[in-house]
Amino acid sequence: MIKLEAVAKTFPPERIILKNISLNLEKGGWIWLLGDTGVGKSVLLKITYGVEVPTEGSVQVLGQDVPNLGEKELARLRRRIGIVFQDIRLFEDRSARDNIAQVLRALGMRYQDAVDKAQHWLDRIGMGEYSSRCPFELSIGQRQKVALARALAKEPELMLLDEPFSALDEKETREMLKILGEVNHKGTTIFAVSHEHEVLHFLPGRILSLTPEGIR
Amino acid sequence: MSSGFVFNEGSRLFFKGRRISFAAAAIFAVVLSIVGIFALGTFYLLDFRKDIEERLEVVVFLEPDADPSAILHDIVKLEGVQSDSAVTSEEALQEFRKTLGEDAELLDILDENPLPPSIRIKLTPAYRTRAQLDKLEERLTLFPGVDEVWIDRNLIDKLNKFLYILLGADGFVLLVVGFSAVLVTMLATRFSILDRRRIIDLYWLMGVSPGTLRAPYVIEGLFEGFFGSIVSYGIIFVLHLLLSPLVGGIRFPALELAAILAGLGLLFGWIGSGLAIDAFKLKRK
Repeated sequence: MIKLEAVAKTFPPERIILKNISLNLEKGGWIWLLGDTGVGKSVLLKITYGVEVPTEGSVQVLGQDVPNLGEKELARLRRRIGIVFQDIRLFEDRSARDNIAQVLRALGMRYQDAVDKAQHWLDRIGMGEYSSRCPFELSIGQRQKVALARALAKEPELMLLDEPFSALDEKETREMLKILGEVNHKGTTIFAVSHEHEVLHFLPGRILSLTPEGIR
Repeated sequence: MSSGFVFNEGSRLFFKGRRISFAAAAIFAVVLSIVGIFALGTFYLLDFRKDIEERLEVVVFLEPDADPSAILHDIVKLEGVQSDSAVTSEEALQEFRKTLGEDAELLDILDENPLPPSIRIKLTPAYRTRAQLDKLEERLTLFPGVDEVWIDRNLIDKLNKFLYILLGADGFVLLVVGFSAVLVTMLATRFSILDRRRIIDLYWLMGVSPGTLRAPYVIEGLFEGFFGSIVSYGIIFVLHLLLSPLVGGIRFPALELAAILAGLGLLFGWIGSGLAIDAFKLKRK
């Protein structure tokens, strides 16, 4: 599902962010990659969905050689992936429901189906009553939940989560983990990164640590 | 490609808070009005030429002793002849008298009628061209009893010459204003893309295809061209109303102008936005 081999990333002129990173995540698996701020977790995640290109190494995601994909192939690959960004990224002038429905429509779903599905996932994550509110009317934690619902609504084969619960309290985090556990149980692979070591004790899946020396 | 999404996004780009789109549509209106003025002038001239052509008559002067009815019978079989009629010397003289009016008395000093009998021919539209008229003249001259063939080509020649000049000017104007319209759409589309860069990037990360991401900007360009053409159509119609006392009963070429203006508006909008999205790069580091 995700296979990274000897991945390195250097930003010009010579700022080494990642070196010799290898990782293998099988279909249906769940990996939490923990690490301190600035260690390159987000960069590694961006490499897996093709925003960043590694300086060295190979990146295979869902059977695709990500760094060498063209525009159309990359779009096709991303359709199969649900992403929660560290900076959340919602359409500020659209309601929570539209934030999800618009993406589904752009991916080819019919209007009513997209709206119904968006509402379903907002209900699932406990944001149903806020579905008509725009992001600026929501707290950061609520925005994070909308972003998670957007990723889930695509019913992806793979979920990439970058600090998905950073603005949630423990109770909310547990609720979100429960939902993620259910989709993981149905076969969705999850690759998540976080800097929060304090949540370590209740995180499901394999837990790895990213350090400047590599993955441990 | 999701066509519903593309159309909605395209119209949203144009209608919601996109002042630049309206500015582009306004420039389109000005540009297409210039094209429209030239097109209207050309239509006026075409209409006028048609009117002149309909009145065009070929007059075949016969020798004094020729039998008009026999020649008439042969001429009507010629290709391109719509109708023909014989005019005797006497009828020609009477007609001439009518034309002279009060001065008709001058004809009384003549001992004999100098006007020959003739045959007047009306032609079908396809045979009213210069080349066809030349051919017909050649053939008519060969008929026994025909003395001379007279066709008033001058007016048609002048009209044609003026029409060709006007068509040339039309083409030149079309090129210049077309280029401006394409440039304006290109700039408007690029501004629009820059303005929505963050949104485009987000859709792109979500796996929306490059075609679906680009197409709404083409729709926006088409909207700009189309709305510009509607306004320019209105301007040209008002101009026609103002000119109608001068141009008489010349009809307003409603459908033709609508097709030209809307067609050009859509074409320029499509080319301009198409060129702009060609430079649309999806971010990858």
